Amino acid sequence: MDKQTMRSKIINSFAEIAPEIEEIQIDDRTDIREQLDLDSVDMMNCIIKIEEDFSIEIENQDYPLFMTLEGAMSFIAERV
Amino acid sequence: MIEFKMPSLGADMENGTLVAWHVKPGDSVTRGDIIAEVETQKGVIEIEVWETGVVHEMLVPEGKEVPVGEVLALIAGLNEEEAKVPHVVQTSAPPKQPTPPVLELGPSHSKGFRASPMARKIAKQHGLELSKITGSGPHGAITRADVEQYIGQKTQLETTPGEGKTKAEEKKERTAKMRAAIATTMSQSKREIPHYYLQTEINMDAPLETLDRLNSGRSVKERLLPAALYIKAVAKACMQVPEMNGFWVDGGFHPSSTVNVGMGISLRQGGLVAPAIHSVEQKSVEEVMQELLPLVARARAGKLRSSEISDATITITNLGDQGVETVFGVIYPPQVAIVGFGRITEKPWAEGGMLGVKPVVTTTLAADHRASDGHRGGIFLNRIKENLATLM
Repeated sequence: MDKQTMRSKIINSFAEIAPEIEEIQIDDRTDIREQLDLDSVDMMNCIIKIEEDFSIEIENQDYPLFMTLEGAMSFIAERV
Repeated sequence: MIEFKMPSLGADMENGTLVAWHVKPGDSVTRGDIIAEVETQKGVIEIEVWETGVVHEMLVPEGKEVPVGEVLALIAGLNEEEAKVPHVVQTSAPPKQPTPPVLELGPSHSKGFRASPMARKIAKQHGLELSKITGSGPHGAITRADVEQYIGQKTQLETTPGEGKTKAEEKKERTAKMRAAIATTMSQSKREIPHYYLQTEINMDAPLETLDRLNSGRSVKERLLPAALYIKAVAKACMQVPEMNGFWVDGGFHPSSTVNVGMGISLRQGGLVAPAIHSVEQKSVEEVMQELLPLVARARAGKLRSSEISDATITITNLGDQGVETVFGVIYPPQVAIVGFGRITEKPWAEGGMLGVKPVVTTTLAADHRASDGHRGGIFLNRIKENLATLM
């Protein structure tokens, strides 16, 4: 999966919880919770969606990586 | 015959618009099934049925606004379904001699209906099912005039909620409606409820360590958040201090034997809802967490269920994620208390003659002075504190 495809797929996963992700320019290195105004429950729901969409399992210790799109992409790239 | 009525989804609700039916006459329904969607000031709510039986007849069409308590549909209970609707269950085609089909909403074939050729043509052009149109011709035949009248009614119904409006306008209208509902309820609360406020600081060192320990061996799906601890700790405290859990109705306090914890959830488009997790006193922290996740997701998506929106016995507001240290809530009537949790922040903490730095959460209580006094409120907050330390 190329980087751009993966990025848009991750954005789709977030879009279910925070549809406005499709309307704003997301910075890959900035905390996505701040950019999308996600609280801790929203964030968990987004990560669970990513798990389903990419058929991967994300352990608790990997959770902080998903705070940025860049971190999420590097994690997923190693597993998909 | 069981009457399925427009439910009251909160003290402030007077009317609701039936947006969609999920069932049709002849469908079997089981207690807890979602059978309709109703638009209220709180957004679109999925309505559950509390009986088991067979749908007999729809009395209200999609798009119509009706007052709380109006009968929306008739459902034949288990004992009567055989007698009253013996054949509808096994066929999706229309009955040979259709009962007045005006409000029949299920998919039906048009072939079995008497209709003039012109009526058929116009219905086809508009993509209409003849089964939905009442005929006024001989033997109930559908005439051109019937079809045109039906189109007129349908357009009117569709226009009322939003036809001709852009999505942005609809969104703005929904937000304005919700704002108005919040304004009504909160004004009523501040006008009628003599609030008193208490605050305490809770050392979250031990609870957070426990959460970390438990979470370290889990997948993200099974992760526990402090919010689940808060909900459980508050529910347990409600069992210990029952004056905080229930409703002030008709000049008196009615305690609730079960604890349904409402969670204040702010919506992205503006406004907020406070759906409930039921019978929290009987659930583990893990179970609470597993209910909280989809509940928040459904609230955000505007897909809450009627049982979730209508019967919280106490509410929690948690603005910690927004960085707020202290929040004093406004009680949602007819409830009598709201508990606020702020952000967990590191603070100097003196204990046992030693000064250290600890994660601390400011916890508040806004309670109804008609139902309880500050002394009991203080005990309630202290119970929450103890419960947080000993839950897991």
